[in-house]
Amino acid sequence: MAEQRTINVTVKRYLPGKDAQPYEQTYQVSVAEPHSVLNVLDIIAQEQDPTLGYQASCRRGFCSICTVKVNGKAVKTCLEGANCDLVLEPAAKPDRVFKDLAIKW
Amino acid sequence: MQQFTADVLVIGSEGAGARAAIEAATAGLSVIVVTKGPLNRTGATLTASADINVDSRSCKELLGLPGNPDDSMDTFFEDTVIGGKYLNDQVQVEALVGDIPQRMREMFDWGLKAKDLIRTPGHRYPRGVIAEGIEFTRVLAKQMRKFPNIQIVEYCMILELIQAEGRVAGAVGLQFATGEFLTFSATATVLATGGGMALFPNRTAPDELTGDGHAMALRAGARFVSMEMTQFMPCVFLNPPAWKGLQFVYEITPGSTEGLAGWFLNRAGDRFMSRYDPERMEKSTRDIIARAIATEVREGRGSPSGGVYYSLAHLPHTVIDNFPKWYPYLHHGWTYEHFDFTELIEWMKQGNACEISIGSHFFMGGVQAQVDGYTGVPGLFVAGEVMGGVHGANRLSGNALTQVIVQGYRAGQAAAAFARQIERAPLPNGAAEEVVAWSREILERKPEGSVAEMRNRITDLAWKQVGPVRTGQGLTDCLTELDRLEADLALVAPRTKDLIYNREWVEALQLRNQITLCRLIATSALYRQESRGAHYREDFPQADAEWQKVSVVVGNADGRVVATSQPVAVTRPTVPAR
Repeated sequence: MAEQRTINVTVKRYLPGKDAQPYEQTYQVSVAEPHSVLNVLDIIAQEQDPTLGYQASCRRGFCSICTVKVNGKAVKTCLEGANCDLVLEPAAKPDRVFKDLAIKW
Repeated sequence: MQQFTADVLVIGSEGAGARAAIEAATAGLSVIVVTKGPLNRTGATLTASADINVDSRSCKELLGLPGNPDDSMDTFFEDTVIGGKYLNDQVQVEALVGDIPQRMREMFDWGLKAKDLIRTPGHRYPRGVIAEGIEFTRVLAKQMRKFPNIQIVEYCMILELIQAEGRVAGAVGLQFATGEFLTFSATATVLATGGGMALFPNRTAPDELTGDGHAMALRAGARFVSMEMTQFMPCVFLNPPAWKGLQFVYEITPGSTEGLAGWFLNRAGDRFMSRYDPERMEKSTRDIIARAIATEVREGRGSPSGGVYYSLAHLPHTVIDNFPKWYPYLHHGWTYEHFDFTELIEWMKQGNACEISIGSHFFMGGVQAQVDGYTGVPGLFVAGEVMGGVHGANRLSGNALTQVIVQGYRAGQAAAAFARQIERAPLPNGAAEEVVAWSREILERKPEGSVAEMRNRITDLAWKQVGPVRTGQGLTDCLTELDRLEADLALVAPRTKDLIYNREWVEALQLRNQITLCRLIATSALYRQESRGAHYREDFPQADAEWQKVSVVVGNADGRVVATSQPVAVTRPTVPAR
């Protein structure tokens, strides 16, 4: 459905208590077949950086726990296609961040 | 360590857990609900699409829905037992059909709205009250929040039940969002942790259902019934990754007699259903399709990712393009549930085929308990999918949500009654600390084995040996391999040592529960030497009247599990065959 390509994924990272303030980190992820943004987070955590904090549960668009700001807009990452470079930020202010994209709902 | 104290501890917060908490709190007791995610964003209940069964007459008379007065609780009972291939615990089925009208009336009074009433396969009358799963769990959560005596603790994985004075006296958990260990001291404990579908690599259910409740209950001395009865959903996506586990293909083709005439093809392009059900082909039943796909893959005729192909290439584009205009289970063109499949269909119209497989969907087996949820382990009650027996060898559509509120209510009441009779037993010194030390050791040790790799070894083994097609040899090999995996577990550790929201640490803590769960299933599947309902043995392909009994798995003194059998609990010996 799509050709193999590499996308840049920039994540706003923050671990309260450890990081003085949020900072950005960019990963390169190679995707061929349609991937969701959540799949991309799984790939980063599994293959590149196990410290990445994010949330997932049903992966079918029901639970909303995976909601993240993708390129400025809060969306469920399981429903959002990873078709271009991504800037990912937590869907809440820093005081509700547990770690990176994982927030207190 | 922060310690919480309550009369009743409920582990699990959505369907059964919420309903149990409400009932125990209504009885005036203090309740703590611990959940692995945030409330209403975790568990399988909210993913239900969802029909909730109530006999059609009660739908009309008690709920004001357009039900059929010719139906009765008796007929609903019979359909459930026939669907369960006569292995259902009939005492539990009596409670299911008898209690649900009143439980649904309460749900309506609390704000749940019925959108429709439908008839689904296996039911003689329309009994499926349609309401979204997420609305169902929101109504329960709203009700829970009305009780000041219910405290909810989120993002906490319970690691172990703690016993004192010969009974379950609480639990210890890791609140992974904060990295803190918490202890819970309670007079009665209700497990409502759901099924264990995350044992399988492909599934329709959420990530966190790793059988923690099953494994903890076993370690506490509980018994298990019908663990070989695991329900599979055929035709879920394997590829592309974005849609893994979604049941779109099932819904548009075999899910309805009017479904699109898509083809299932093996790697040679052979329309293999002709060898399994030549008459109905791709419109065959769930169990036959699941078995057919699994057999093609097992015998080396699968697609590159380990599934089979789904193709529309033989259909005129006009037929495909017009299909979503009239097919009731799609909306806004090719959108099913929350996903828009337009891009996929366009790609398939160019002659491409997608890959489908089988997903783990539901556990009929679980902890054996009395009709009030009492497990026989003093202080321990169960409710919902973690409890086994009510569905027998197969679950009728719509009986899952019926189960959670009926059993949640009963377990909540029974736990409250137990807690009233007896003093709370304080947690013994050192018991929680031992669990914490074990968990910390896993975090801190050097990772010689990868968490993801171990998870994949476990889930691949489960798929291969306790999936839709089983053999005696395969199950024996599976049990041996589980011993090996358990030994290798000592090498596995997370790569990162952060305490806060360390996903790999949580996964590492789940692995031993997944191994235990797989062992429970393999042991009962090896024991049942026949095929019935969701359990298919290639070496015993027929149902056998000798096996009109349930398998029971118990832990023995040296930490192993053994299978035995029990007669089916029968209240109505004369349920007719249909």
